[in-house]
Amino acid sequence: MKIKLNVNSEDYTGDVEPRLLLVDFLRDTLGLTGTHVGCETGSCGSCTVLLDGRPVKSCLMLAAQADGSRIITIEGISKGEGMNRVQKSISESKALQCGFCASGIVIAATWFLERNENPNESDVREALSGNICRCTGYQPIVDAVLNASKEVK
Amino acid sequence: MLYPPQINYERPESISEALSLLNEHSRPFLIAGGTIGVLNLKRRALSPDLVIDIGRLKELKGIDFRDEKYRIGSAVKIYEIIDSEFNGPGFSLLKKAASSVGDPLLRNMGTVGGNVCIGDPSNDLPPALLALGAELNIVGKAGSRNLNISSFYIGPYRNLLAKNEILGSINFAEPGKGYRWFYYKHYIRHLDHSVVNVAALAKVEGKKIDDLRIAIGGMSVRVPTLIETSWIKGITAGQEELQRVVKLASEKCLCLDDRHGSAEYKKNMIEKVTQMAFLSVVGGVL
Repeated sequence: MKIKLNVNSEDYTGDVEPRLLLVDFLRDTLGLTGTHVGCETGSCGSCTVLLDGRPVKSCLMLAAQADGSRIITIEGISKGEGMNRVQKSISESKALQCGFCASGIVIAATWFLERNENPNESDVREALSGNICRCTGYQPIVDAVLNASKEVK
Repeated sequence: MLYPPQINYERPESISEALSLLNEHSRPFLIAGGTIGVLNLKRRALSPDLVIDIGRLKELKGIDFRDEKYRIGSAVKIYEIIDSEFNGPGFSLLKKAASSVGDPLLRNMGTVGGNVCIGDPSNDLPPALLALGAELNIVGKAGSRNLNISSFYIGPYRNLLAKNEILGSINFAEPGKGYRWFYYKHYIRHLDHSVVNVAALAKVEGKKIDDLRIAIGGMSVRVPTLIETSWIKGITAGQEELQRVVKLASEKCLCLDDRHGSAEYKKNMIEKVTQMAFLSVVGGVL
């Protein structure tokens, strides 16, 4: 079936199998491999992308369901400014180890900080509760997001 | 690797088109958000001859408040409940239950209708909607019918929605001023099925209870269930009444040993959360 998507501000039209998952459309069809496939069951959040401005898990969605939507992946999250404040903060404090969960966490945290000016730690933990990190125990990530929130946009 | 089987997919433009598709197929499968639907396809738990995506139907959208009654379209996303401006005690109860669903990302995807219709005993919205006395507006080819949510569930993952029907909207009256509400979900790990969740609403006049509604869900019960509390109306509640409500709740325990806990643990948890709910909404009387 034909679908039309806007991904990172570029339009894509494609003919997809109805069963194609959104995450695989992004990775295999478009080659945007920054979005990861982790648990495949909607638990880990590695596949998080922004769909019409809100973070969703792209492994639990058919590409067909996203037809006509605007999608932002990790490749497009910084709006051409190098790294955004969340990415910078995580990078500077070396808040991650293996980095597999990074793209999902950056997407979820960036969206959260755009809506919350002065979050506290529990707000950040709640915002990241859909993203699993198996390396860090979360504290360095939470600290990095809190630090990013203090930066002037 | 988890992958859906070959499927046919349609996204109808109206409810009537969706109903026609339902009637024309022998194994149709409705999805809206897809958080459970797509997952079940990936697990090959289903082999539908058509996947019908009703997630964008305008007729199933919107939260309205008219004549002290809410109408929530079944394709309203869970986050829309949380972001809504309504703040009466009844809607606040539903908001709390909605914000207990999954995680923020899943709440951006999943719909109210999905949470109600899946029939997972541990889903968050059904106990809240039971306490609110919600009516389900169910649409079929021949017209629509209303069914109280208290008679909707007939077993785990089973309900009275016919194969060729669609849940159109969920409707309930705002209990209004003077009502106190409570929602609590007990789980072992985040994203696990809850062991037990409880929703409660009460109005206390002076020292007498005017209205008390408690509903429980979770893996400790067969289906989300309302506790029979109509007898308490007009009574000044004390320890005796509390114990009676707790006992009525624990009688609803399915109480099987499984990975969510032992039978005894589940019974204890039902008793504990029912007591918490009772004390919270009846409050100062005791």
